[in-house]
Order: sequence, then C-alpha cells, then structure tokens
Amino acid sequence: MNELGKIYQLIVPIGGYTMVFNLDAIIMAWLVIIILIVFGFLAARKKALLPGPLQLMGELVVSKLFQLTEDALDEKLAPKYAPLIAATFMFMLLCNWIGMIPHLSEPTKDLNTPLSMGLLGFVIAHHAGIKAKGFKKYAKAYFEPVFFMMPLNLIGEMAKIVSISFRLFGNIMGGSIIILVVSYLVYNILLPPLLLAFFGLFVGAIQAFVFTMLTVVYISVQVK
Amino acid sequence: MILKKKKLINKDNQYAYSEGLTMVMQIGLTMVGCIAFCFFIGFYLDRWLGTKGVFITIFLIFGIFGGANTAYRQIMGMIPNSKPGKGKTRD
Repeated sequence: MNELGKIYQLIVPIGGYTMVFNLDAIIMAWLVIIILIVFGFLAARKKALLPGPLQLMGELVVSKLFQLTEDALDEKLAPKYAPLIAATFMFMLLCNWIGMIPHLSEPTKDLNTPLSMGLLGFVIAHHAGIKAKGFKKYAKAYFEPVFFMMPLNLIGEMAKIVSISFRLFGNIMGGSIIILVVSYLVYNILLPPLLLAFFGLFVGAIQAFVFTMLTVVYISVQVK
Repeated sequence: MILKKKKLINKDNQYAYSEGLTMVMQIGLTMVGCIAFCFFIGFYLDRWLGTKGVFITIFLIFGIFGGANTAYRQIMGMIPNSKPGKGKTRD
C-alpha cells in the first residue's frame, strides 16, 4: 500500500531549469525494448518450414497486424506502415503486461509513455497525410465544411493526442491502484491473482489493441 | 428444418468491427479531450496574461463546440452511406 504514489525521479538542474526523469518508466520501457529485440532475434533466427514456438508466435502476431494494416490502408501502403503498427502493438502489450511480474511496474502507468506514443502516432499520421495528398489538399481539409470551422477542426485534431494517451494511462493506472487497494483490503488472499488476470492480462491486451487500432485509423483517415 | 450456421464476424468485416468498436470507445473521450485541452490552454493563457477567467471561458466554449464537431464527424464517418459533405470529411 505504501507503494501508492511513490515515484523515483532523477532531477537534473540545467541552467535555470530542472529536468525530471521518471526512472521507473524509463528503466521499464528499456527493459520492454530489450525483451522485444531479443524475442525478435530469437524468433527470426532459424526460419524453418515447420516453425518452433517462438517463430510461430512471431509469425502469428506479425501476419495478423499486417492483415489489419492492409485492411485499413491498402496493399501499397501496408508494407510501409505495418512494421510501425506491429511494433506499437507489441511494445504496448508488453508495457501493459510487465507489471504482472513482481517488482516490475508498467511504463504506461506514467503519463509520459502513452503521451509520447500518442504524439508519435499523431505525427506519423499527419506526415503520411501530407505525403499522400500534398500539403495544399491536406491543409484545405481543415477549412471544411466552412472556413470558420478551422479552429474547431484544429482543436479536434489536437485532442486526439490527449484522448488516446489519457485513456491508456487511466486504464493502466486505475487498474494498478485497484489491485493495490483491494489486495491490501483482503490481506492478499484469493483476489489479487484474479484482479491481475483481469486488469493485467485482459484490460492490458484490450488497451494495447485499441491504441494500435486508433493509430491505424488516424493514419488511414489522413491518407484517404 | 436445417439451420445454417452464420458467421457474424468473418474475415472481410473483421476490420470494420474492430474499427467500429474502437471508435465507439473513443468518441466520448475525444469530447472530453477537446474540452480538457482547451481548458488548459485557457488556464495557462489567463495565468500568463493576468486576465481572470477570460481565456478559460473563450477556450471552454471552443472546446465544447470542437468536441461536439469532432464527435459528430467521427460518427458520420462510421455510417457507410452518410451524405457527402455532412460530416464525412476528415474523420
């Protein structure tokens, strides 16, 4: 229970400003990245016709996400954006699941992680839009249906980053608080594993999928 | 009587279902996001310029209308045969 609200921070003063690093989130995010790189290396090391468990898992995830991207965009754009989508999903999934291991915590519990991922998706979506339609046509869409709607359209676009990141952050943070509080109230008997299964596995997987799906939808909206 | 087993989610509409479900989950939050985003812009502008509540009011109105506009366009974007020019533009 004492863990609630405890954040380990590295504060670096530079000039008149201070830079604050949330160590938990940074270390856990790097751990997730290292696990994913090792998984990718092991899964693709021996490409056999009769795949092993790791290769099978890798092929399943990648092919499903490639299919999803192909459905959302088209066959031409899918090879370009599918790696990003697959990487986003696997990173988010592992970020949400890593908290189930004792002494580790979810990097997505810190708002900075979902916010940066949301910002990444937003920038890529708009870059794809400008590239696909040209800047003039892209900018013109903000003035539709009438020109004075431009501020509202702009606000709507910016709010996408807020909504996509706050939803993920809220779900993961809320889940971990509920697990902590309920575990404390029931003296860690019976309920914690069930709560972990629900908030960790189920909600974590759903939120990772929704985040990925929204990134795909935002790219497809901009491209089409 | 022979009952035909009908697959509700097949390979073709799998993406449509996923997209619809995701957008439905997102619409409410998009509205909240718009209002929260505008509130903070107004709040910081008020603090910076020393005005008391002027920019919060203006930007909250922007946020409410912006949220409604975005939600409307997202809903119209999900309806397959929505009239062109009425919402189905960007979202």
